Formats: sequence, C-alpha cells, structure tokens
Amino acid sequence: MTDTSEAPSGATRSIDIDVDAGPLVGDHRVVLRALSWFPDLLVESDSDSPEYLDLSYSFEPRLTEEERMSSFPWKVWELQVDDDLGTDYDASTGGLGPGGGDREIHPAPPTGAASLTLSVGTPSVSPAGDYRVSQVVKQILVDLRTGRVAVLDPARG
Amino acid sequence: MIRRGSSRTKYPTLCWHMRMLLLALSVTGTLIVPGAHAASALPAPAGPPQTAFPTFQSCDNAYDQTGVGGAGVGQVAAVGNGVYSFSISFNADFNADFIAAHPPTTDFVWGDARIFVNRSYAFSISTGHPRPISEAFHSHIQLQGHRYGPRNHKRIRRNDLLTFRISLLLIDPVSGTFYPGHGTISCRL
Repeated sequence: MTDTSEAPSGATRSIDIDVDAGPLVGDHRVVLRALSWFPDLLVESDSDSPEYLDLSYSFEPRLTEEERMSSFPWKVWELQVDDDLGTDYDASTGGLGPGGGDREIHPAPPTGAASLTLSVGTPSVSPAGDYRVSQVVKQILVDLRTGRVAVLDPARG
Repeated sequence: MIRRGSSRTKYPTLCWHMRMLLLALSVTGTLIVPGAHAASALPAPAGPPQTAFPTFQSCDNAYDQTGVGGAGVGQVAAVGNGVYSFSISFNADFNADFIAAHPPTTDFVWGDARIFVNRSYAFSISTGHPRPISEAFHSHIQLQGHRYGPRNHKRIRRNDLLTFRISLLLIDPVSGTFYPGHGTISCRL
C-alpha cells in the first residue's frame, strides 16, 4: 500500500495500478492509475464494510472540448470487479472529465479477500452512437495484501 | 454487470440529511448551518409541468432544464439491453453563466438522483466523494427489469413513466460557501 498523489483527497489508503488499457474511448488510451479506499458516508450503518473503492484513470491524450461536450455513453468504458470470495460489486458509477476520471466500486473488499480482479472492457456505445457488445481488453489482478499488481491475458480468462 | 446495491439506495430521509451534513463536514472541516451559507445560485427545480418539453420525452436522450439557458445538467440515454446511462455534467451555458461567476476552485461536492417510477419512489443514486466541477458524474443503470417497491415486488417495464429528481451541492472551499441545485428529468421508458 502506498500513499499516492493520484489518490483523491479523503482516501484512507491506495494501491498504484499504472496499467495502460489501450485506446478504449475512441482514440484515447485509458491508463488506470490507482485504487483508493474511501469511507462511505452514505452506506447503511449495519453494513460490515462502510468503505468503497475508487479506481482513478487518465485519458491519453485528453478529450478535446468538443468530445467533452458530446453525448456521454461512448466515453464510459465497462468495468467488472471480482474477488476470490465471490463478493458482489457495483462498479456502475463514476466521474469523468477531459483528462480522465474515476470509477466507484461498492463496497470495498471484505477483510478476508486476498485478491481483486479488474476486468476492463470497451464502452457499450461507439463514438458514432451505435450500440455494441463490450469486449474485455485487459484484466488486472491486484493482491490486496501486498499491493502487487499483475496484468492477465483476458483470452485465457 | 451493472446493478445497484439495495443497501445504498434505501435510507430514511432524516438519516440521509444527517449523512449529507457529515459529508459536507468531511469536505470543509467547518460546521455549516443549513441555509446560512448556502447561496441559491441555481434556478429552482423545473418539474415536468414547468418544462417546455413534451410531457413524456423518451428515456433515450432525455434531459432536464436545470441551469442557465435550459440546456440541462442531467441526461439519460440508452446504451442497450435495457441499460441506461445517467449523467450529471455542467454544460456550456452553465459554465459560462454560473462557474465563471464563482471562484475556479469550486468543486462538485455531491450529487444525488432519486428515481420515481409512475410517481412512486423506486431507488436513488449518489456520488461518493467530491469531484472537480469540470468532471461529470455518471452511472449505468439496468432500468428495464429493475426491481422496486415494497419487498421489491414491482419491476420497471417499458412505457413506465420515470422521474429523476436531481440534487446537487457545489462548494467554494475557500469561502466555505455551498451552492445547492436541483433538476428533474421526466421520461417514458
């Protein structure tokens, strides 16, 4: 675990990811930066995991002003999150700006989880606005105990 | 796949307001008396009867009239298979007339949308932490088939009337001033 400048303020801990997922959003590469833990102030008090994760990323190159102001769905790449305990994660929300953004992952992994797999997929909508089936292009295995990060071959599952 | 966790979407109103205050405190470290420092900088909510849109716009590319110029800050668009993209972003009109009039350090502290189905509350979506005002908040929602209502007995179906009631909280961290905002998107699935 590290404290990193990539982590948004308010994060309690962070793991550097630094994986280039390739040109997912039009011609813009998505570079995953860091996985950070945040206290979840909106979660119900009976939850045993009152935290959530935040995966920050950047666009390389940045979106143009025209792209920033264009319709939204083509800029949102897919993210599936799994752990070794089979926890059900919700990664459907996030923030997005011209230089990149972040994805919220609810909840944070339970204390017994040893690893987290981030499956990164193409957006479900093309820049032209056409629907398409998302394809997983990169899988990242995060060791939650050591903070080590490994890139898996999605073709091997 | 895209799902909404029920634990995040159901909480009593009072409890919700208390947690919102806690969120504000966590951002500023300052006690904010509700209403005392809040500037009414955004226009009042534009409910469905007050808009210039047809009464029932389609939920594919539906938007509200919040903000200056009526271009809206919220948008709903289909992304296929019953999944919809919901986003809150600050458009050019908003940028020109609102952001330009306030300090550039203003953050987008918090946003929340409560979704009503045929005028009955169904679920809500909230931001987790502050973001720069230049960023948009977005969510992918499996609307078609989404369970709601008492004991989740109902499902959202095509032709249902959906209403997204958006609440925003913007902040100038230098002065500690909050700017609340509201908006409404009504659409037919």
